[in-house]
Amino acid sequence: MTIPRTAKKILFYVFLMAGWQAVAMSEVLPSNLFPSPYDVLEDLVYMAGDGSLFYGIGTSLWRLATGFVIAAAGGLVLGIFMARISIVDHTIGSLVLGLQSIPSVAWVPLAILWFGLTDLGIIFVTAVGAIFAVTINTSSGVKNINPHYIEAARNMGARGRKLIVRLIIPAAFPYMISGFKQGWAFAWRGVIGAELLFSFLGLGFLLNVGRQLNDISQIIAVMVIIMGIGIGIDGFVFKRVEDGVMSRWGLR
Amino acid sequence: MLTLEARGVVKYFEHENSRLQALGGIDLDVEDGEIISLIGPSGCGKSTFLRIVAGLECPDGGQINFDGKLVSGTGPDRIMVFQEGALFPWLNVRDNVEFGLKLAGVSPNERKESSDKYLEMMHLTKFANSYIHQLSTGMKQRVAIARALVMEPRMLLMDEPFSALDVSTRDRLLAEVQDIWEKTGKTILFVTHNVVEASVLGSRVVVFSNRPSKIKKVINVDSKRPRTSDDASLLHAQQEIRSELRQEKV
Repeated sequence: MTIPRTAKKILFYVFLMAGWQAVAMSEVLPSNLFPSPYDVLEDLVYMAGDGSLFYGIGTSLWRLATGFVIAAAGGLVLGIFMARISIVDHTIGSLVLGLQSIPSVAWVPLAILWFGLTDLGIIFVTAVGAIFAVTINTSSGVKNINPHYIEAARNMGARGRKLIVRLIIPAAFPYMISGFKQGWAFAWRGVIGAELLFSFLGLGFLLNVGRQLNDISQIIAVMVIIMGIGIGIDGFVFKRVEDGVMSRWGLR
Repeated sequence: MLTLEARGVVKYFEHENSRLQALGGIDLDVEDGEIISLIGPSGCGKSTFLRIVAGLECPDGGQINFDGKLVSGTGPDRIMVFQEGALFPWLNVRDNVEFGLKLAGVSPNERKESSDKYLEMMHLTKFANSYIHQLSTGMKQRVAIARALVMEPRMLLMDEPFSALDVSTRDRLLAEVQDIWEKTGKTILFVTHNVVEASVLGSRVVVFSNRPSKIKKVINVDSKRPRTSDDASLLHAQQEIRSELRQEKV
């Protein structure tokens, strides 16, 4: 017997929840350390009721969006320069590869000293965590453009900025999308990490509050929200854009 | 009237620390409205010569005059049709064809008018909204030709455009190119390694020698048009081209 894919998924989560509830109800583990899914749900409803949840989500998403837009724009420009001008590639390019290996939370101490405990500091951490992934993917995308595309466009009169806007960016777009996808994933980790350490509003802050109050169900509730937003943005934004581009190009 | 004058065109290539001479001094005059086939052994530099005419590469010696002016870069008066079309996969057929017009700032209405005209001429009207990956190789070359014609160039530079096509598609496109030539009077430089294509299209067939290549022989083909690939009247010219090429094989 074959079960449809979505049915399998739903069944899996039903079993997961039932198992979790069963373990919690068996009271093998103390309930303050291992809350039941019902406790988590109760906390979610409570946080939604007093508005703190939506305020937290809103704050984190705003920081994410701002940081990501800065990273996407900056990474695009830097990536194109790296791909088109070899001196930039050989100098800044090597530095970018190095910076890419720094986890975004490692920028937090610097951000606190530079910007204080402000939104700007968190946005800085978010942007810097994402920008190099966008840069590297953009650069390899531009380097991999079929040289005949560029020649054909030049032949039809594309120069300078027009060449970049009409040809380089659309031709490298499939690579750029992977850059944006990676970049956004880094940005999301960056926001939450920074909010935890800055302890200044947002979902990361709510995690911290949960820890300070020894409220594990609140912590899990916020984690579920963080995961949900992650899945949502990936599926509704990036996957759609990616699918659209891939089918146009005939790559899928 | 002369369209193109090539004088002593020389080109070198750097290849793994050695310097290869691709072109050893090419002299060629092309009259307005001629179709010239360029043929030669593979790697002889005939495509390089075409790219220099397009302005995509600079000669290391000699010069090319187009309409009496020195060629120093690409221009919309000389449009290239690439071997694999080099069509843009992110645009549909119509947007591909209108690409150059859009760059030139032509208004949407005028763009549509021109693209409609050439889409029809190339039998592509039904495919205006298709994306490139949905087209057969022959269709892609039609789009590439329409995209070049829409720029209203003086000269069409075709770089082995039919080398990936099956025989019947190629024969149809050979007929269409002659038809376009009748209708528009374009000057065409056609690079090929195929003797039949060269003789069907060319009013003159220019045979290149091995590297560093020079023009070995120019063969006039006088048969009346439209010609097809099995025209008996082309046999003599084809024999002549073949015997020239045979001498070049190492």
